[in-house]
Amino acid sequence: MKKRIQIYLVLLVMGISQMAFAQSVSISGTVTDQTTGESLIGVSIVIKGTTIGTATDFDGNYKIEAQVGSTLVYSFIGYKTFEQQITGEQVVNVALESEYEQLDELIVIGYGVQRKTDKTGAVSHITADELSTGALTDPLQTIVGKASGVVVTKGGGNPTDDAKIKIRGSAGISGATNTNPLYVIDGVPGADPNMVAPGDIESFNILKDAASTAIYGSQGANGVIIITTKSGKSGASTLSVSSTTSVNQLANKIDLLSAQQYKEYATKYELDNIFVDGGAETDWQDEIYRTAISQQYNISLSGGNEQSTYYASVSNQDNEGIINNSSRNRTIGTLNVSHKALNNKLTIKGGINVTFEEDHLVQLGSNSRDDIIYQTYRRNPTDPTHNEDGSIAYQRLNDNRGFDYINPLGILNDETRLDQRKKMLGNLSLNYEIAKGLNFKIASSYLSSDKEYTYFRPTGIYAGQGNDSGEGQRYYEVRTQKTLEATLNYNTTISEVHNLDAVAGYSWQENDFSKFGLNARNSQSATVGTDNMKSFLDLQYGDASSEANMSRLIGFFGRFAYNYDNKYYIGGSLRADGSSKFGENNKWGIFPTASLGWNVQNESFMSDADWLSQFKIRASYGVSGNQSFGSYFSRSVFDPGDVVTDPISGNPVLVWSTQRNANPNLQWEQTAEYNLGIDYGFFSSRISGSLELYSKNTTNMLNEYSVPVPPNKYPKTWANSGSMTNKGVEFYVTAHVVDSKAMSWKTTLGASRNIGKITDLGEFWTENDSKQGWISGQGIVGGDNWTMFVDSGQGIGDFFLYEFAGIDDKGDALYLNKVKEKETEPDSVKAGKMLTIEDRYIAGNATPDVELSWSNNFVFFDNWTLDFSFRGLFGQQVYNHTRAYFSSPIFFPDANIMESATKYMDEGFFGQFTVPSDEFIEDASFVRLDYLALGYNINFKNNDYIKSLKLSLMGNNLLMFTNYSGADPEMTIDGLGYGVDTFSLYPKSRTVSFGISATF
Amino acid sequence: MKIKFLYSIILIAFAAGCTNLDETIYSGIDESEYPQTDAQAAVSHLSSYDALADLFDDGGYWYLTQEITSDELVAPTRAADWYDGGKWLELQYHSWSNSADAVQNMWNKLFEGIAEANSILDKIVSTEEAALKIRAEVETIRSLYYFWLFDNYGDVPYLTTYFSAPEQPFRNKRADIFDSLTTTLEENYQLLNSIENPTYKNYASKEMALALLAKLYLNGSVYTGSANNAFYEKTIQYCNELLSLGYLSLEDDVMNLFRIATSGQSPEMIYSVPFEETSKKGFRLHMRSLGYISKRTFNMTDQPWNGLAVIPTFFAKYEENDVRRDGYFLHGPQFDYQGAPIIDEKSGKQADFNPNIKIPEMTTANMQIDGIESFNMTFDGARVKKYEIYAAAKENLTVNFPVFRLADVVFMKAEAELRLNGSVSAETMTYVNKIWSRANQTPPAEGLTLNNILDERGKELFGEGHRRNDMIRFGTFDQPFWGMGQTDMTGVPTPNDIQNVFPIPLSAISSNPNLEAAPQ
Repeated sequence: MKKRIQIYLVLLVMGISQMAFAQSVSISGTVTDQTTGESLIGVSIVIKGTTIGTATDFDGNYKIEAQVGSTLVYSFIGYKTFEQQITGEQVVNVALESEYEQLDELIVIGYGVQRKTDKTGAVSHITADELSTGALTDPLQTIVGKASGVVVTKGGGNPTDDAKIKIRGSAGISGATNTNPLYVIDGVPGADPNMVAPGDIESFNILKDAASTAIYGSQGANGVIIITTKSGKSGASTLSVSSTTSVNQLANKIDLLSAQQYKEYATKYELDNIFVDGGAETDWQDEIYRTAISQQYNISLSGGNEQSTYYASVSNQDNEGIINNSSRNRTIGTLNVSHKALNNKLTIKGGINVTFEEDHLVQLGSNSRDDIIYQTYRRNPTDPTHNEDGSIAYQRLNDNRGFDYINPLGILNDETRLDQRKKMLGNLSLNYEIAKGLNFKIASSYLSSDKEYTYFRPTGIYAGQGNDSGEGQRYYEVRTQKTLEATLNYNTTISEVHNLDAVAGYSWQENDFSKFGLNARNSQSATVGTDNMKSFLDLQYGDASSEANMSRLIGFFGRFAYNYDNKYYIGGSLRADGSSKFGENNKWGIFPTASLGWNVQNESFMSDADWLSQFKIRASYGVSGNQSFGSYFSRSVFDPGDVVTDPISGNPVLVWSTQRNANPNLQWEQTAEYNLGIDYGFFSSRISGSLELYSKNTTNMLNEYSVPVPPNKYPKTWANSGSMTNKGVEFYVTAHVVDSKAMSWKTTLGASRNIGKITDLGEFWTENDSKQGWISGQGIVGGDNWTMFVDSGQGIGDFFLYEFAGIDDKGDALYLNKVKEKETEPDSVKAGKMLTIEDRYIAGNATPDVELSWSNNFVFFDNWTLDFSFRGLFGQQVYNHTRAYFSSPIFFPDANIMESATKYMDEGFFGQFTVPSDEFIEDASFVRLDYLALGYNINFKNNDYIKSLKLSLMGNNLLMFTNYSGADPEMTIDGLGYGVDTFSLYPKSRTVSFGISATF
Repeated sequence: MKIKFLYSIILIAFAAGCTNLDETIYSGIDESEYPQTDAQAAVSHLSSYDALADLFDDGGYWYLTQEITSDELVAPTRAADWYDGGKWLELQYHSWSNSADAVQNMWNKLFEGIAEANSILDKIVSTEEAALKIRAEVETIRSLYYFWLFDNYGDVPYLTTYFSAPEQPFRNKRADIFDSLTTTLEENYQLLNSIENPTYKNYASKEMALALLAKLYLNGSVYTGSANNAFYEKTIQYCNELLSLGYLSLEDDVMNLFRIATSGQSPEMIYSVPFEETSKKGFRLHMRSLGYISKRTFNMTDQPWNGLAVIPTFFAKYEENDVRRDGYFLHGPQFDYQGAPIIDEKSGKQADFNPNIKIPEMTTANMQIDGIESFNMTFDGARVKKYEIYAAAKENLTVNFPVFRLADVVFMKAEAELRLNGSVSAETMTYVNKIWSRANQTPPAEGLTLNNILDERGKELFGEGHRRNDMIRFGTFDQPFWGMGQTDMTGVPTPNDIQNVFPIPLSAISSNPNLEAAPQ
């Protein structure tokens, strides 16, 4: 102790002596880029150990007074920090060496920020300039292929569909529960990413491992995506304007018979006598698709001073879908402000975001009357689109084209199917610096989302054998979320080597939902429609409905992160979460984490290794949860049921009854995850990247499971059961391959692989719960129409199908049973030995072995940029239900069929493929050119009116390499059952866009 | 100062419920608070009837199963229509597995009704007369569910409590359930309301209990596995009680039982399940059976689904002049509601619901025999129009479905007399003759015998859900008939030997292995 005081004294004396004898000198010079020789504007120059400093001007020049012997520190984003000791010279010119990865850059984690170099969990950080641009309907499409282990899929080109994100496979059973990640927008958990305009995004931070997500407790199990929107910077105001126009076209049609081929088919197979020629030649796919034009406009204004900053933007996206009359129009207004007060100790931040959205929907997803793709594909190519008088040709009185045979043009042109949304997100936070490093923050937010749905079908569209009286529906629903969070954060460095960051907090969140709806039939006016519900004559019990529910989530949490001299890291966190939705017996859950890290390159023994700029090893463990099930699932609630006649009074009375089995043990689903990561960088991070290995174990999986009847009233109960694992590896490397004045080339290669397995079925899981990947269609109804089976010890995504064995000489389709005898389905039905589950085998897997992405960024002569990214999924199969369904000759002579039907017809098969077999399994590996963009930038130096102008030409989904026979091999990956190409998807499009943006 | 202000904000937030996780239930009533009012309490036991409606279509399958497994109806595969994964053919050919939709859904729906009834009974603690009356009513409707359940599945768990039921119950023996049901009904029926007030025809009444007792005893030898004359004596006893009631009589026009204007108040009706097209949905036989074109025949609002047809051998049982033939069935050339012929565009001929449907399914092999034209089965088969199809009929029909009616009681009594004495009493014959005469039929030369009573019952009670039960009692259900017995087509499937009861569903076994153990 005594010794230490002596050392301090010595240091103090030395300092005083330096001050006493130092001699002041005026230094000037220019700072340039070492590679290009260009002068750098705004480089910060600070005298080490002081706050005295300056910055370079427009020509890269600077001037500063400093003492001889002191050190000047030159720092600039994108360049290695450079230190120069002052020996007395008056001119010091410095050439900065560019640095490719900023290890001091801050990344956003739950309830805090962290230097990139300090992270111990698996976090992907993507900044605004790395995002894809072009014709994007969804902010999540900007990160496709940008973060390894983060799979962004959109099953088709529907402008009103949202992209789906799966981080490291899905934890839990989707369909039953939500396996989407938690979105945190500007600190508001549970916010909707669709409220953010792509141009307003400052950064994405994707928390992938449980150690990172567990601070969000029972909501973190599927990963957390933190979106930070732009805020103003002090300095002159900046005005940015941008506009993009896109042209979309159908990427691929499917091979249905043309009218000519259809007639030839009738003749070839001697079926003329049962075929009724509709008299026209129609390509129904051409009839419903269009070349769609989409436009996006964005204008933003930002600026501020040392005390206050602001960022305001308005953007509008008008996206047309390639199916006629399908579109989304969205307008987003955002205002972010911040203000510092009380000697900069209090920071007030506020933001408000308002979104208006109008979606013109088309119905998809099944084989129902209004299902636009189904009605288009099946429509007889000889049927006319319009009558002679120009009206749409609905079904005629006498024709028998089959059940629910509806003209798709009638659906598209005469029906209204509209969603109108109004969303508002307001947030306000106060941060007070109580003492140096000690901050108290309170944040509140209010989110509301209103949706009005309108459906109107005038009379006649379902016409055929008589009259269709039409139908109208209106629904209005209101969703609100209130959040209040308080955190206390302490950040300190002791003795220059002990760095501590600790946070403690409380979170309160309430969700409320209410809905009102009205249905009616028998419309009396095609023009009034749902604008006056009195114009419908048929209203029944249950046509007017409303509901309301609420839930509340409360969490207490704490976290510490300590490191010794930026070398050795240890951290941990704990969150206790209570939810009103959890059953009486399980109200609170505990979510702990622990993590370790070692920055090898900061060790003294590595100081000679100049080539190594970063080498970090980190390990973490954490537990997070999923609680995305409905309110009141744990308890018995009496709802309105039947209306009966009271035998005593003779009046109608309402009978109340429970509609669900209660489960007081219902609780969150839990995911425990180990993560091991390595971050590396070589040659000033000219090559850098990371490698992650993870193992997730999800237990207490939520689902509506089968329970014994009796004694239960209903055969399904919401419960927790079973467990699954997801194990995987993620790798990425970024290299600045060329970096010269004339050209630079940055390339990033990412690879990931995830293997999911069910490890235990648990108490509730029964055979019926294991059946996944359902298919449907006319004649394909009932219990055997599933393609996947989930079982303990078996991989997720395994296709479990019958083995097709050709067509026999009677013309029946043959399948092999378990003892490899050939069976026909009709005979086996009659004989009571219907092909059973034991006759199926594992015929493929829908999970890709590996996902690869390759992004490139070129800059030529400072002005030209070229970006492109390829993405490929390899090793997965798809069950091509579209081909199975439309290759069935039975639909002739009424509905259309694919060319492939002739192959089976030639073998004597007249029937329908009604059992799922390996005949329709196909390899679906593909490589897609997701994105290609050419840009031209002009920077106007010394221009008072305009700072920069950028022109760009972009293409999305321009090229695809695959052996898959269907329209598109990429299926939405979600939950346990995926990889089925159902004919009811919105097809993908190919897009070319032109963009212009300017900054003033 | 500012710090204090911040702290006070937090304190307010914490005080206002920092750990409050109470739920507010808005659109329902929590179990602990139900019933809230006397009015709710007065009708709360009526939820025990809720499960009934679903039993008549594919929510609960009871009705469709009774009809399609019997020789009354066929659900033919019509090209791409009605194959539906083989779920109808399975019923037709008696080749169902324990995972068939019908087998699983009928079980679940019947036990849903039983669970609801038991949960009501568990809450009745009062022994006042009014409470006992409600108890008797709920136990009686539960007995109806159990009757259908053990009639279809044999040995099943017989539970009489909901809240104290074992988590994984065992099965009880069918014969023991028979005893429990008859005892329960015999104890209760005097307590029940009488349909002297016709409003009670839609509820578990004294007369409904008597009819159910007669039905149980008539089938007693099937349920207990041994013939017992006492069962037939009991049948006759309960039938006599019903026939002696002055407010019950046979209709002059049989079709009055199926017209919405008259069926609810019909003096022949004992117990019916009420359906209403908008508020009490669930009866869709007309949609399943009538042709696409029949929308025009009846000027309906919805287009029917062109499915179920009458099995030709059953249709052939009717004389041409039998009023029930044209009353129950839609057959022959078709006309629209204004009388104009309906022309089929494909053939250019008038559409014809030819009763001679060929085979239950249209397979490639079958088509090769007669050629594809004969197998374009759009129009084949007589359709069911027994339950009135009024103008503007929707997807759900308004019907009072006759579960028990006096004509059934008459035939039950006649059958019991035949089985007990070998002949039908003169008194009973007066009722039987009335049934024949109102159908414009003369009595068969040999009179009513055990050889022809199954047919005579069938002709009268077609489409009322009795046929499977009747065929089992007469031993014909597990014999080949029509579709199963066709020899001119491909292969003759062997009827399996356990057809008379359905297997315990896979869904039930997989969550409760005790159901596989021997019944207790």
